Amino acid sequence: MANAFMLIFGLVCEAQETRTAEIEQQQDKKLAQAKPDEPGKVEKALDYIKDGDILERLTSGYHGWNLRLGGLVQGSGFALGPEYRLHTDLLGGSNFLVGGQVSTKLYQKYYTGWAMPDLAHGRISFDVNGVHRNYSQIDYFGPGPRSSRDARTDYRLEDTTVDASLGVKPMKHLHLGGSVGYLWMNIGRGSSDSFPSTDQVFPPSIAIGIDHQTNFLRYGPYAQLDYLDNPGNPGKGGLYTFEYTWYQDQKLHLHDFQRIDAEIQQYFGFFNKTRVLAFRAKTTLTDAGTGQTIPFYMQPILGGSEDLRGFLPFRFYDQNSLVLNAEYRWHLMSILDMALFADGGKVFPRRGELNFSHLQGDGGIGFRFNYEGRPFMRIDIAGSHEGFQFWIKFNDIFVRHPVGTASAQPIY
Amino acid sequence: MKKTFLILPLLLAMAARLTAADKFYSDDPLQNEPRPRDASGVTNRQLNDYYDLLENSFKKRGERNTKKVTIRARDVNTLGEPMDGAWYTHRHYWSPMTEEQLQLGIGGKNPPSAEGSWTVISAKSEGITPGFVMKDSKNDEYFVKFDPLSNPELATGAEMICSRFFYALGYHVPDYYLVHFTPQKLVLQKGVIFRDAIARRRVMTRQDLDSLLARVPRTSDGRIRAIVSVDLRGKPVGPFKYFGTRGDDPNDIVLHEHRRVLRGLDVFAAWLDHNDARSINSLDTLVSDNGTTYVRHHLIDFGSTLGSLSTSAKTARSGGEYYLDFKPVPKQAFTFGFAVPHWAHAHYPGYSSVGGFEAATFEPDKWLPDYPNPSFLNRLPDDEFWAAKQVMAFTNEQIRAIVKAAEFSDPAAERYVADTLIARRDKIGKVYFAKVLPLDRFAVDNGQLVFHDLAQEHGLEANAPLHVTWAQFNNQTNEKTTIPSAQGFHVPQDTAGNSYLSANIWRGDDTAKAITVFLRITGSQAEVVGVDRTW
Repeated sequence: MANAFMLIFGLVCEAQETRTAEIEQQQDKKLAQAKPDEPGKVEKALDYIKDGDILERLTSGYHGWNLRLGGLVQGSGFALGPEYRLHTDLLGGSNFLVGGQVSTKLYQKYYTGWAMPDLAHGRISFDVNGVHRNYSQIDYFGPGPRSSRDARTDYRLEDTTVDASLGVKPMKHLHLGGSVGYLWMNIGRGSSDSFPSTDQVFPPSIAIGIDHQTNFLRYGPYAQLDYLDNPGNPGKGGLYTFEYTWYQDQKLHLHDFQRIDAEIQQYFGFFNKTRVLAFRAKTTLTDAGTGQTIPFYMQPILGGSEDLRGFLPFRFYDQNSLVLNAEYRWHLMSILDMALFADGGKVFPRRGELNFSHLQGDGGIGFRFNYEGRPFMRIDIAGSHEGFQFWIKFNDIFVRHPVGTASAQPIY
Repeated sequence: MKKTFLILPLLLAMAARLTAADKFYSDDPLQNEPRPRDASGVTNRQLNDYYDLLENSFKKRGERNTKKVTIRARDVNTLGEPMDGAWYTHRHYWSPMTEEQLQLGIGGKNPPSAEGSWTVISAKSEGITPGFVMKDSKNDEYFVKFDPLSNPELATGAEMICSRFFYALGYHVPDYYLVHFTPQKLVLQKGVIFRDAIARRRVMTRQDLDSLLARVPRTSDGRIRAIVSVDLRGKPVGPFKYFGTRGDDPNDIVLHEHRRVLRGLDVFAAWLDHNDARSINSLDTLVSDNGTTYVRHHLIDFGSTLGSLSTSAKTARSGGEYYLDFKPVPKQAFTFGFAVPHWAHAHYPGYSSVGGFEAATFEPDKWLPDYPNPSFLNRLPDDEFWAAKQVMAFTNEQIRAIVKAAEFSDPAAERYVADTLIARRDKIGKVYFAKVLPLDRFAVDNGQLVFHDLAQEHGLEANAPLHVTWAQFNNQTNEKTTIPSAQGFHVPQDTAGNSYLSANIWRGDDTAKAITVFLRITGSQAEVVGVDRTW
């Protein structure tokens, strides 16, 4: 009973006569219980990442050093390795780069480069690069468009390159230049346990050059017209590239040849570029001099995540190649686009066969994951008459390689 | 024992009678928040912006309104108006500001001194657009920000315009100024630490400062255009959240998701395309007035407003869908993108200083910030009306005057921004005035209940006649007794000893959208003390 009286007394005491008193009473109540908000575990962890600049260190590196994911050829497995970048203000801004990666299949790549992209107020660029690669199981199925999927073999590709490029920009979108480089080649036995080594299946008459090593001097001009609206994620515009490269066999004098690379990329964006039609046509034509041949490992190659996505990597080798890609991408949400695509392409022995007949075709769907408006990962599922392929890649389908002799080679 | 059972209900009934809160107290309606309690014990707290994004995107934070449970705004007086205080101040709608006042915004009295040099005392180098803190020759501190290289005048213009709008709309904001200077005006203080391009924290050199300035656009005469903000008054104690309350602030007694000033902010943010309206762009400071220390709540950083995304022009998605919006994904995936969202149809005029800002596809009630905001999601039609009436209070000329503060070098860009704001304003009025009965500014004049019909004033459809019924209102029991003899909006004289009257008003046949106005009768005087809206 006494408790009931106390309760009623308390309730009556709490009743207020004015709005001000009512609010002040709530303030007093809060004051009595006031205590600072404490972040939870997840927020504390995110604070640790932020305060320690951990994301910045992963993306921009730390004192120039960072860990680079990927960057090796398709089929290499997961690759990781250190990279050091240094930017100096020397000569209008210079970038020095050195790094190396090793993959789960023990593919290795070591590289260094020095680039001066803004000489003469951005009118002139110069760069020099050196790369050593040791890829232990590159696939080879035999030459020509009718090679059998069942004839899968592999070989070791080991090379060292040094290339230098000098470019000028006579106008806003045009880049002209020339480059020169030296290539030391070494082809060896493949290391795969699942497939035979190429030299065990294909004789030197078919896999030309498998029985002897040589080195090349290479040089040539290039031209590039680039009016893409956003190089990181194009939604409009075009990129046209033409390169002509002479390869001179410096050791055996058996494999002199010329190589032409021509590529057109065109993008049509609509509905504020939330839908984009992307097209690419790319051809590589080679021509050996009289009495000369082109080693199989220097031939144009098709198949895999960057051209014919419904086929195995390095599925087709021959003297020439043509690939056509069409992709319709549309916005699902800010971090994700979806794509429908179709690829067509072929390798062919004679330049006269550069046409749209007898193309190998595939099609599929893809997902493009974006961060801050730029794709950083794609998943493509493609089907062809040779089956389905599933790709997770950390690059764009129309990979933009640097122009010049450094990229004018079948496996970049 | 038996006696106890008989007495207890009786006592409780008495207590209920004694403690039943009157609908109106003698000091209603309050125009100002009561004197704050001392908050000097409030400590600085930081908010992780990634956490804020994830928390609001994946968790339903705050006490939400649902179809079954509706919680009206709680930071308002009995007229439905937020009170002047730590969050808000009645400004343009209630006391129209002149075009000059609107253009000046909060201050106009404390620009950085043109005399002498400016000393850089700290720097921000990460991100695409750089910034730093400097002291002028008066020793006043300013935060300096620039436009992206690709879009001169974009971010600085947007910030100048929207800081003025938010000030006129009643919020506490920093004082912003546009400045033009040559790099030679800047002097680097010794020992300024910054993070360089390769994530090293090191002492900044003059060369670093020059490199930083090389990444900002120059005007035709070679100068640099920047926006400077004056340090806010008081000690910074971190941002506020759009839900819950601050635990150590004794004056923060209303859940933020139930604050009209934050619910209605959705409408203002939509109008000005402030997609970045989130906690990280707010700041609480501890200020002392008349010997009392309390927390004042500010909106800061308006670089992502209008067509600006601070570091670039806005894309169409901004304002159209959340950053992590999974809802549209199935529809978009299964229709192969042929179901084009309304925002993707936007057409922008191509002014680099304007960016992605337009009115044609703008739908005020479909507009979204970058990620879910509990206060915005809790807004009700009366919150929306409160905000919309303030938006509609800006005349075309006043909007043009504020846009002039951006000092766009292209008159066509200035005209376009103003025209777009006018068109978006009109859409806001049309959408939100239709959700309630848009009458406001109730008063008693010469024995008549008078008010403004905002729909009619702004040329919106409101042809049906208004109806009113009067009642005597019992302030203790909330009971109403109809006065049959009452005529029109004339305040009835027959109060039967009651101190309160109520007038229930609706238009045409739409009795759902109604307003009940409460009058307190003191002698022969009648005073409006309360406004309740239904819809």
